Amino acid sequence: MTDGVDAGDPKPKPRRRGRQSVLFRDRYEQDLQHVQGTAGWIGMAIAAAVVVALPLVAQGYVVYNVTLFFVYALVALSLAVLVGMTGQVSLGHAGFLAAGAYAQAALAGLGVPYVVTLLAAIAVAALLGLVIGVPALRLEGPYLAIATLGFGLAIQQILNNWRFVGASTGTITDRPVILGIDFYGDSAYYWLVAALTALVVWMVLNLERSHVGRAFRAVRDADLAAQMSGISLSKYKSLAFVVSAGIAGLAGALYGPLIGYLTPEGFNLLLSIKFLLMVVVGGLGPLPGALVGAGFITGLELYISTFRAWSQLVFGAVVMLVLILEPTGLYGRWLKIRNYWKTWPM
Amino acid sequence: MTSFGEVLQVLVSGATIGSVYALVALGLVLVYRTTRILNFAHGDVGVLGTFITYVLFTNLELPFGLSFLLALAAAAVIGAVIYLVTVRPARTKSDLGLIILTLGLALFLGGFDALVFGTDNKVVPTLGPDTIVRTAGASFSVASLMTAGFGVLLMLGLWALLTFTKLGVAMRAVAQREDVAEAMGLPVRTVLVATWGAAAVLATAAALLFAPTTLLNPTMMLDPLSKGFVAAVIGGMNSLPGAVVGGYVLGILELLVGVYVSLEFKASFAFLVVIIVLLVRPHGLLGRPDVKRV
Repeated sequence: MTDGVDAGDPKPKPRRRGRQSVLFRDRYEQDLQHVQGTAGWIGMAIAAAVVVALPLVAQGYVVYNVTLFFVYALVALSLAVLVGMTGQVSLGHAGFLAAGAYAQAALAGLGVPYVVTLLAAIAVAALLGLVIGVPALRLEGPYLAIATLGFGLAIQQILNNWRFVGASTGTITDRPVILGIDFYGDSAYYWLVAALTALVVWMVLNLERSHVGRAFRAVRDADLAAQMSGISLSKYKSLAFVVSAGIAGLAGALYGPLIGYLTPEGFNLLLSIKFLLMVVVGGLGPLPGALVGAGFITGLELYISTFRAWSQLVFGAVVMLVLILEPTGLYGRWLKIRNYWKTWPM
Repeated sequence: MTSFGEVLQVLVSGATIGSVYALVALGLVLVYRTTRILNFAHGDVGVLGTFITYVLFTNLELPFGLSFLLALAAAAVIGAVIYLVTVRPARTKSDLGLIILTLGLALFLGGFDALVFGTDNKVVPTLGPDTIVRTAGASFSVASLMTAGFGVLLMLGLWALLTFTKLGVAMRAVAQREDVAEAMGLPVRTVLVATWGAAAVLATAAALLFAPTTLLNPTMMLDPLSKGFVAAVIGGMNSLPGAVVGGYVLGILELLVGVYVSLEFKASFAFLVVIIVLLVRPHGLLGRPDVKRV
């Protein structure tokens, strides 16, 4: 079909920059760009403006819940690195979140500056990730799922019996003061969390396009073949756990001051399951899927909490419907719709 | 100072709770072997079956034995319907997607139970009278002995089903190689429906045996389900004898820890066991590793 069209042209015209097709990439540089084309940049600018301006126009209740969404989005991103990129399941991510949150709260209680507690929370969670990641090297599929589930429950049990962090009564956390700026207000704290979330999103996107990201995906798609190509399975599998746990730890350090009060019961199995739901319902694989999933699950929970007794039933039904109807998740469905219109009528 | 009677006491009590774990683990392994699904809705299916027994027994005033049997039959239908309505039509074919599907189903069933039957604790009668028998320095209630015995009876029933019936042989064939079984003319869909039904019966039996110790409510099976997963993983996810061994080993070890070490440690002990067992044998005690080809 294209033969007849191309016959008259001696040379194909070079494409103009800015009119590149969103669907098909024909140069390697396009793979490296996070934002594609002019429309992409305009979309980014609008999204950034909305995120920054939100506390100025919305009510405190909305601002609080969007902040919560950012925290959940961080955990979903961390799971996207582990489950989506590397193919290792974790049913215990609430454990890493708890580790970060409690590390931050305990250090802040001792009078350590906030920035240091934030870094310490990341370090503690990442260390735990290494502790879990190394034995996880030998496990796969259901065995890994149950082992991580056990890890999550074990963390909860330890916190429940540890007097120093308040045992089962929990511990109080305060909003931080950084360099004399008080982040006590919901809006101020919102901007702090939004900035850190944006930073992590950018870092994870960079990770994905680096050689480490490619190694992660190679391990996921064909571990034996990856090993044959010189990729160290043990190195990259445990690295994925460390990176993922570190991000979840950061999310925990932001989560504590947001809700103000930590109890071991708050980091139960249901929370771990919810995080996994976010990644899979959003779409496993592409990173925006994790963000879409976090937004969808957080929003759905808020919306159906008005149904009272019906809420759990409806929540389960919606999750099942998404999985029965759309295996690639919500983001996958959006890509299909977008591609349909871009290529219409073909 | 441990006497023979004390050890016997721990062993029998451990075997009682162990038979519940073993029944849960058997149902999980049965489903996992054939469909590669970690069924997180397993516990909630059992709870639903127990609620059906409770309604038949309390509201319709049928005899307990009859309500029990009717509930097991209802559970078989529920298991079959779950497979036909959710798992079979699911376009998701990844292992993780199917796990998430059962998590959604668990939430749905839990919400359904809470909505229809309420979240308050309900009393479910035990299998036998609560009289105490004393032998060799240990004392057991007749009810707990009957619970353990009924568990063993069900396991023998499953073994007979899988060994001596055509359906059982077909189930094993499908578990081994689904594609080959289909090519040989086995009705794979019917076999899978029967497998999910059998698993639901096991779940209901486990929940019914467990209900008198905690009282019946929608979240009752959360702990036995996670312990059942641990038992299945200890034994090896693709081995039915492994599930039984794992269940009893876990039940007895857990009780020993509760009695001789500390009661607080008992709850998290199971997950310590699973990590230690998996470090030594990554595919469980009796499980075989999957052969992989590039």
